[in-house]
Amino acid sequence: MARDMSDIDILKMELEQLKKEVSTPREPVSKTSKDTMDWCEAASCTDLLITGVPDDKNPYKPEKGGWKNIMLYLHRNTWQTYCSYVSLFTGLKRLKLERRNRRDVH
Amino acid sequence: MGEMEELRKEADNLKDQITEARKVVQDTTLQEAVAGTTLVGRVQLKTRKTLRGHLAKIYAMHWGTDTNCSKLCVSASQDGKLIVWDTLTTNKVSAIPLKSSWVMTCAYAPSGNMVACGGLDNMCSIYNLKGKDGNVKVMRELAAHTGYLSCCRFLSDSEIITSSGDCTCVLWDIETGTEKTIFAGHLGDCMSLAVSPDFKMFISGACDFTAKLWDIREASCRQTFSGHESDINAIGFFPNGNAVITGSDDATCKLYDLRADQELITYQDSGIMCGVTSLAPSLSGRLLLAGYDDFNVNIWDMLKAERVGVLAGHDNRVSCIGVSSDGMACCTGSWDSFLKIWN
Repeated sequence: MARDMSDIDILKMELEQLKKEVSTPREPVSKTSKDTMDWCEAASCTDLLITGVPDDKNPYKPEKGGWKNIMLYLHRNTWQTYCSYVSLFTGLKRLKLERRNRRDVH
Repeated sequence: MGEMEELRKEADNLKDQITEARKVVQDTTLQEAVAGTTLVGRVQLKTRKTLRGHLAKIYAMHWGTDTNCSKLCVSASQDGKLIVWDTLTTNKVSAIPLKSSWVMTCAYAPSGNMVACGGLDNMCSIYNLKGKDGNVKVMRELAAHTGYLSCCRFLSDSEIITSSGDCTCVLWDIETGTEKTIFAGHLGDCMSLAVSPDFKMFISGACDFTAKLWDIREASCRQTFSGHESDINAIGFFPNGNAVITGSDDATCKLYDLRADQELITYQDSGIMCGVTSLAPSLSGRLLLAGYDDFNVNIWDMLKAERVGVLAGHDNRVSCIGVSSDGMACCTGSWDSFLKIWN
């Protein structure tokens, strides 16, 4: 809207607004800042970002031994165990083949 | 022109009168009033969850407020998706594809039934999350702005307020899709808005470096706050509704008192030289979390105006931040396409 208005119309709009704002009731800063401070201090005791959330009550903290963690742990470990068995088995088979080859050569 | 000169003189005269009236009530400063208060201890929040799923910059996020969705939040990204997240499980409750991917804002209705978004398409699209067949569909497209949609906030399921790059804010009736009230007065793009806790007023921050307090029912601007030296990108109400916090490209945040009609304090540090992109006060108003262009979020003690913590973890600009309605966690969204939950 301000883009389509002429400079003089913008000035008139500003002037109208300033006339309204001149008579805004204003309270002393000492009173309002004290009220803000008191409100803030009273509410800070229950502000969880200040006091912190204890681990056992924090819904965002994953529980130790939770189902998801146990499954992930087992899954990770089972796969690792499987991989190590496969590499052990392949290694043993290779050894066996080499021994047979050497025997045949001799 | 003679008329212009006269009008300008009158305006300057009135501005001087307002400055004088503000000085008269300035019998102390906030710094003096809080001299006896102790600084809040160092605040160290950890990333508890990372919400992965967006494929491009995240521009906005908003927490749900209703008790059923106090752990849900909606985020908007320029990959053309609006995602509603369950922050406890990091699951996506809904992934809504948008018609226009140039989204700049999103909002969650207080009831939890709807979400809204908008951006360079100049429209505010409202989506119904609780449709009969379970699908999320566009309910209304509010089109009348002649500039981009920078911010939107629901008042209820039937009313929403939007701020736009066309320098106006509009109150819409969602049922009919029409404008109820147009709030004109800013001389620059309106970049952000926030609704007061009692839903009777709202504040808007704009590229004319001022913040304006509007009365929703009277459809008028009550107060104007200046002092910033650059565009105001982020704005928020102090939790008790009696003060306003603004964040600007001039690297500072300011606290303005509504009843004293003036700036109380500025949150600035010589080491911070980049603009503020977003801000959110904690539930008690004691902490101010502000996101900056340097990829960090600084946590300020609002009364003492000192930094008490930093949230570092994003690899790009922090574009949006919000504190959940129960005050238990804060969520940051970034151009690195991730959202992080901290507490």
